[in-house]
Amino acid sequence: MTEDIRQRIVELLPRLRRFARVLTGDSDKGDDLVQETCARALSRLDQWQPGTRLDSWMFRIAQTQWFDRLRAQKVRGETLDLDAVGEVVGEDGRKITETRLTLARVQEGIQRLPPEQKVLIALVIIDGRSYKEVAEILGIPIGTVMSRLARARLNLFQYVEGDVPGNTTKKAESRRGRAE
Amino acid sequence: MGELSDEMLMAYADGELAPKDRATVEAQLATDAEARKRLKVFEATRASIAQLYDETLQEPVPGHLLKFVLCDEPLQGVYTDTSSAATPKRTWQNPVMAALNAVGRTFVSGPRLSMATAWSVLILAVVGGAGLYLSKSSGDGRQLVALHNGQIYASGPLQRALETTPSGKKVSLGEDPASAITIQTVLTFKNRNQTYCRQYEAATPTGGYSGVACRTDAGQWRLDIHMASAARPVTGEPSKRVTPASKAASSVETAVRKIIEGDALGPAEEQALIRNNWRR
Repeated sequence: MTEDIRQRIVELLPRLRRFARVLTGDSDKGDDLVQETCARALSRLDQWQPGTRLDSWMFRIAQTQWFDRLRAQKVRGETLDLDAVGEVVGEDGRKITETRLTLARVQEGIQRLPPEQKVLIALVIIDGRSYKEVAEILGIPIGTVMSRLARARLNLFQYVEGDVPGNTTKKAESRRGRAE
Repeated sequence: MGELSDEMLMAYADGELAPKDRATVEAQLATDAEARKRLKVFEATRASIAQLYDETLQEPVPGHLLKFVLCDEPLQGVYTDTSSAATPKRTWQNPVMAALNAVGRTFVSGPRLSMATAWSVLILAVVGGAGLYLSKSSGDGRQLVALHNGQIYASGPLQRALETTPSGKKVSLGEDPASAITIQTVLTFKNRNQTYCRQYEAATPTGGYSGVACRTDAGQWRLDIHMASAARPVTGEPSKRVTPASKAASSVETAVRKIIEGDALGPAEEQALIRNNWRR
């Protein structure tokens, strides 16, 4: 059975790597996170309940490891990844509406999001999971998934486009979300 | 129904609404220009993010991760440090450990985290431990393995055997059975990175080893797996696979099955590669 689970984990590796890369913003750090995740998963295979989704279990472990790591960095006083991403594209640069530039800007914007929002972007939009599945993975209410994800996207849009359309209360709210 | 909330618009953009709710939202959107603008935020963010990291899915998974998942054993069951102040002594309890430690970190560079650091320490440990006999005889050109930059490579007779010996053929070093080293290459194949790899077995006076080595562009054979197996001589007749009697052997076979791309190479193909110094 263990053999079979290992094989199934291998099949999940590409998705786990993508997830970890989004979270850490870096392919090497992402792979380290994947390896830590696999180490933890393999050391507690008995805690996985057959019949439940292995991918959800692995993603849960991955995000827990990542949050633990962020906390440890904070305790040690290291710079968080999201702070390390500087302003690369200035006002002038953004006026050049080139696709590549915008994509880079989007990627940058994702890295600047608070961790709680970034993980939702990674799970819902990039991994394509439903709100309900994500609520289960993260162990939070579905309403929280939706409000955080909406804030994340308003933040991101504002970062890339410079402004958010619509009423101002939303914008104020999204700024609060960012400051959290 | 009042103003459409951001969450409602987002759920609509994400296809998370039931048909009935979709219809309601669409009806409101038709008359609410402000809501249509806000909807764009959620449509645009979805569209620009969704494929942003997809290239990661197409990349080959680094070998060290594959091997880690396929060969890892719970650490506590494998390696026991029984050192005391007086008599430092380390005991290997499971040959799979060697596989675990011989993980190639081919794709990875940059800062290593704690896990990875523990890793390189263990790689050294395995060379110092499993290769004990070999290190004692260092200097006489009989070492099977050598360590470069945290990677284990074939050396001496093993390097020569991997480079020049057809599968199934035994090469022996030394006449005296008490000190002879016998090496047999078992199988040649291409891995998922299109690198040539060979499975081998070695019998030394202190024990048997089996493993998988993959050839680097520089012509070295990097040992992705090198594990101690039961102390038994290489008994295979030419062109016949040695029966995997021990756990080590079956672990190597398992690992081969995981990393092999297509079928093993036939004798003619193998001969041609050896003649050509492994250039395709």
